[in-house]
Amino acid sequence: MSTSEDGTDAEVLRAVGEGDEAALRVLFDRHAAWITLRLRRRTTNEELVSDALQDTFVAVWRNASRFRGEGDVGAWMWGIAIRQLLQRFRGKRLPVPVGAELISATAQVVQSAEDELLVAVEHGDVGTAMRSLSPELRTVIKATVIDGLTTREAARLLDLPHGTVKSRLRAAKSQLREQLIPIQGWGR
Amino acid sequence: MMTSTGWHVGPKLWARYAAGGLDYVTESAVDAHVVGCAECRQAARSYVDPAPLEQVWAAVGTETARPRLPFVLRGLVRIGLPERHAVVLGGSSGLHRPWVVAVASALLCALLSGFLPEYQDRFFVLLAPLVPVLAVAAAYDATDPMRELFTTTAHSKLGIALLRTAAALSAAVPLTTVVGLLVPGLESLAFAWLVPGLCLTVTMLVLLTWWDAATTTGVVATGWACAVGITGRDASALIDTARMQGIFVAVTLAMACLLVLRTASTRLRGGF
Repeated sequence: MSTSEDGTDAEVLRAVGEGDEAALRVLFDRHAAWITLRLRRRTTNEELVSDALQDTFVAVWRNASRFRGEGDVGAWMWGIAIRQLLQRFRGKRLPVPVGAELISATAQVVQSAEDELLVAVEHGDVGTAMRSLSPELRTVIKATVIDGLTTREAARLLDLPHGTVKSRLRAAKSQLREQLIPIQGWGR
Repeated sequence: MMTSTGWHVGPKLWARYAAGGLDYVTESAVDAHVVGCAECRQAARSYVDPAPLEQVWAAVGTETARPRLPFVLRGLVRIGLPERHAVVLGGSSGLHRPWVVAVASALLCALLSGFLPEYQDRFFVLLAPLVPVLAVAAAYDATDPMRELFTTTAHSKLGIALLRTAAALSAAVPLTTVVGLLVPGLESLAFAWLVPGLCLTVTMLVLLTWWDAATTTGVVATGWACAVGITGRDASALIDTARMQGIFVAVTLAMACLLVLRTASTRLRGGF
């Protein structure tokens, strides 16, 4: 049995970086399922999902040594996966359902206070605040904050002009801030 | 209100997530949570059919077992070179060789014509059109490791020949042109050598259907040297007149037709 089976993701990834194919399989077992589920929420095209998943693990195989050990391996892999999907969208009309978005963890997002709040979205206050946003603003928030894309990438995914994405993101953040400050005392 | 600690994506929530039945905010909450929660990621496995995942895994295995294309070729694939072509190019480890030969002969060309101004036209006319010939020859080393590939690949022999020629020329042509432009006194010839160079290269490809690379190079180079020798003192007249350029174009076209005929003939394997 491969020792990597009990290792943390970071340890397994290191083994992958040294060319251990069994370790890649361990990562695949741990991560393929949730990445698949999550990719399916971004496109209804099952073929794109499979292709993006395949490319993701090939990319992990080739770039494992580039993981700098900061942040979660899961986030790093999602960053790769969503960009692989995004790449396949290029030049196509996006077959994306309502919640269009993407994440990149390849470059870990620098999180501001309200970003952090959003990432802890699992509950009432932030949920309520997000619900109050118009669908356009939510989509942009999701693509940038939840999925971690740059505004430029989000624009490509959402098929919107870059400027539109930036202004919607600003609007969404300021609305969220206004709603959240009275509740939790976030912000300065 | 739930707190961020101790909150997990339970089976019901995963099921609804997978079915697309969650509202926007809850879905975001799941997304944000799972990137950092191994437990929830593990739980997701029950909601994905393992069979298609295994197919993906098999495909990943095929990819990872394949040697990686060299850096330059990956760049070319990115800008549109079909991957199967890149693989053929990458398969000839000799790709560096034609490039090195191209660089070396272009440099030689520059040195000779730069340091011997008296003979510079003659040297340039002699050498410049031979730079691509040498580069292509190097791509067709007599101990051709690609020979086996010819019989097994889906590429036509002509296809492979042209592909490698193009790879060799991509180094030879710009370099020699730069030499022509940079060396003082050669400006008028800087582009005049292109058509003769192409002509010699195509001729060489035709001859390569009969002979190996060494013989072919010898024949082409000797032939060209004789032509330059006969022209005598004013070597530039050989390439730098409209009439000669016309003749080279005509010969090139004739040779191209011959090349197509040769590679299409049944005697060669893998003809297109």
